[in-house]
Amino acid sequence: MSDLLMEAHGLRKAYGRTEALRGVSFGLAAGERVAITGPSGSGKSTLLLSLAGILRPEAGEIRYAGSRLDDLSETARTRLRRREFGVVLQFGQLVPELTALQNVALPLMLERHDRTSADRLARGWLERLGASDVAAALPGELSGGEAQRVALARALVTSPRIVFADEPTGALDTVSGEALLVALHDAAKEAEAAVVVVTHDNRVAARADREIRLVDGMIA
Amino acid sequence: MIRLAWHLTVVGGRGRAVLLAACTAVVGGLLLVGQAMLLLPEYPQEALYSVVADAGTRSGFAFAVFLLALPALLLLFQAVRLGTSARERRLAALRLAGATPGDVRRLGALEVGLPTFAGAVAGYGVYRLMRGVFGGAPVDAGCCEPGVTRHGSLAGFVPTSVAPAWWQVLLTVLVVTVLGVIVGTAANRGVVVSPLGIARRTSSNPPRPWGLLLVVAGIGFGVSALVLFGTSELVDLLAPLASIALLVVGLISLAPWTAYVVGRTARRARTAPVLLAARRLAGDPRPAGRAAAAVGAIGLVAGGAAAMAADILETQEPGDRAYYLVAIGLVGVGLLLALLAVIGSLAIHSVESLLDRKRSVASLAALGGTTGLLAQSQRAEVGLVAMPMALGGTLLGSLLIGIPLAGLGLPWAVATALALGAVAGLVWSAVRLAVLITGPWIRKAADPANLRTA
Repeated sequence: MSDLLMEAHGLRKAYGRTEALRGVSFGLAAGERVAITGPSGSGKSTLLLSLAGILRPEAGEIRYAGSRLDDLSETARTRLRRREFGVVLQFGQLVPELTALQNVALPLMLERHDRTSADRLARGWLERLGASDVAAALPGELSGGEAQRVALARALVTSPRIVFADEPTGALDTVSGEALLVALHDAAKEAEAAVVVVTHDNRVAARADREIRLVDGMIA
Repeated sequence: MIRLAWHLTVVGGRGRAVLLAACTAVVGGLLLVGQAMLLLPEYPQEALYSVVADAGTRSGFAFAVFLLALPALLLLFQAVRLGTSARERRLAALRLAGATPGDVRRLGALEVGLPTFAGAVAGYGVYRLMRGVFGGAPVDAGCCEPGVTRHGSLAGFVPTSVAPAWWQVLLTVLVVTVLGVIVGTAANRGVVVSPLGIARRTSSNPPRPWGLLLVVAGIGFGVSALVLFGTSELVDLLAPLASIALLVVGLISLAPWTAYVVGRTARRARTAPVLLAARRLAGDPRPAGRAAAAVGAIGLVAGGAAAMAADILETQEPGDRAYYLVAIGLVGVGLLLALLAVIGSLAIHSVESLLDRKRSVASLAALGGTTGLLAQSQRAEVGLVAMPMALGGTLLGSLLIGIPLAGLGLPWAVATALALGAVAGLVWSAVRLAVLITGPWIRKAADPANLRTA
């Protein structure tokens, strides 16, 4: 039995006639920080979204904590993602009608936590990430950096074992991007969560324990 | 979940929720008024307008009241689509936050179910209001002979001596809520929400004219009603009602197919607005077809009423004409009310169509398309479907009533021509008004900022 937290073997995924992943294999240890890099269209995001259980690969297998992830139903994968993973995308993708605090509390509310404890935990994460002053703001009122901090708080509020981040600093200026990265790694370390981050940015990759470079859907 | 759905309904779609509730309130109110009419004894205790007071015509009038609920339901179907792009962003974000497909479906059902339930409850208020305003006048005890029908004024057509029992009201609330949720769910059919966004399972097959079968069946029931007239009371009552119901549903079902055929036919148009509209219709005919669906039924009833009016003027004594002609006038009022719902439905379709294509609209504006040209294109998209539906329905209604009554003579031809002219004018005005309402959204969609969004 492998002591890896997550393993993937021979992943393949195509969009029409374009092959995004061509037999990619991957392993992630608990608490490890991995950067996935590569040129545009190399399959980085497809790999990350497949590992996070958002996309389903057409071939190959993904195991999380020893169990198959890729053959679970959509609902089962969503529940697993809600409990075990945190996901941050490039533009935050917050629910526009909910305040920052409500957005962070949302995964807990979906897990049937009572509102008071969900709010308390959400407020705690917003404070840790330096975003407590925007708790009552709606996503439309937040700057890009603030929205990403809120999205990161939402990803961490369930104490996930892996945080997946797809170009989390892609829409931010250098200073905000740097601040978010520090926050991401510090928070993940504190929560003992592994981090898988897709990036174009060498500075982001440099913060990782390991870098995987994809070219044309294969590991270079 | 209910609290979250309530929050999203209140914050994210207040206008939509109010419109959903208003539509279901109207449906609920009309159903209760129709039920009250059917509960009347043969000789009502109050003075009611003649077609309600007379037991022979009462069930037909109650049926017409039930039919009036149909445009409101079609408007509800369109109202569910209001704010689609914002709602889709919200649902995708919820999925990313960990909501399962089942959670999202339940939230969607609650977002429709909560306002429709509120509307269904408010429907009782609409009924009470109609009863208060249009209630039959009470007759003093002992003033009239028992077993005598008391005719009242035109403004008194809602029964006041009888009312649906509490369980009938409760059942109506339940039925209207379920109907609202079913219509709402049907409007979201084929939408797949993933954490990365929305995908629609659009059918690549063009719509088929299955509605023709219902129209033929409706004509068949109409012929049976004539052939079997007088054989039994039940046949005399049910055959014409079944005929009308099948014709109405058939014409409504034919709307997407009509949109497709018109779109295919008009795609060689020489003017840019019509060409753009025709291409959109041929590519995705169902939304525009559904938005204009009720106009075919409006035309059908208008054509039938015109042929009936021609027959009345020919066959009835001058003194008796008023009885029938006022009833036909009442049908006209009902049709105008239905047309109001159609205007709402067309406007909602036009707004959603613009917001769905805002990048291409912004591209057109960048290429030099004025807002006037964009408005013309919207008018063409809606009008190309609505006009043939309305005129076809009018001609069908006029033929179906005209042939068995007085034949297709000159009075019928004049009445039909007048009806076609009136329906064409009213439906075109409705199209213009619907697109006029969407003016701010045309300008919003043409904003150059939309060129930079996905």
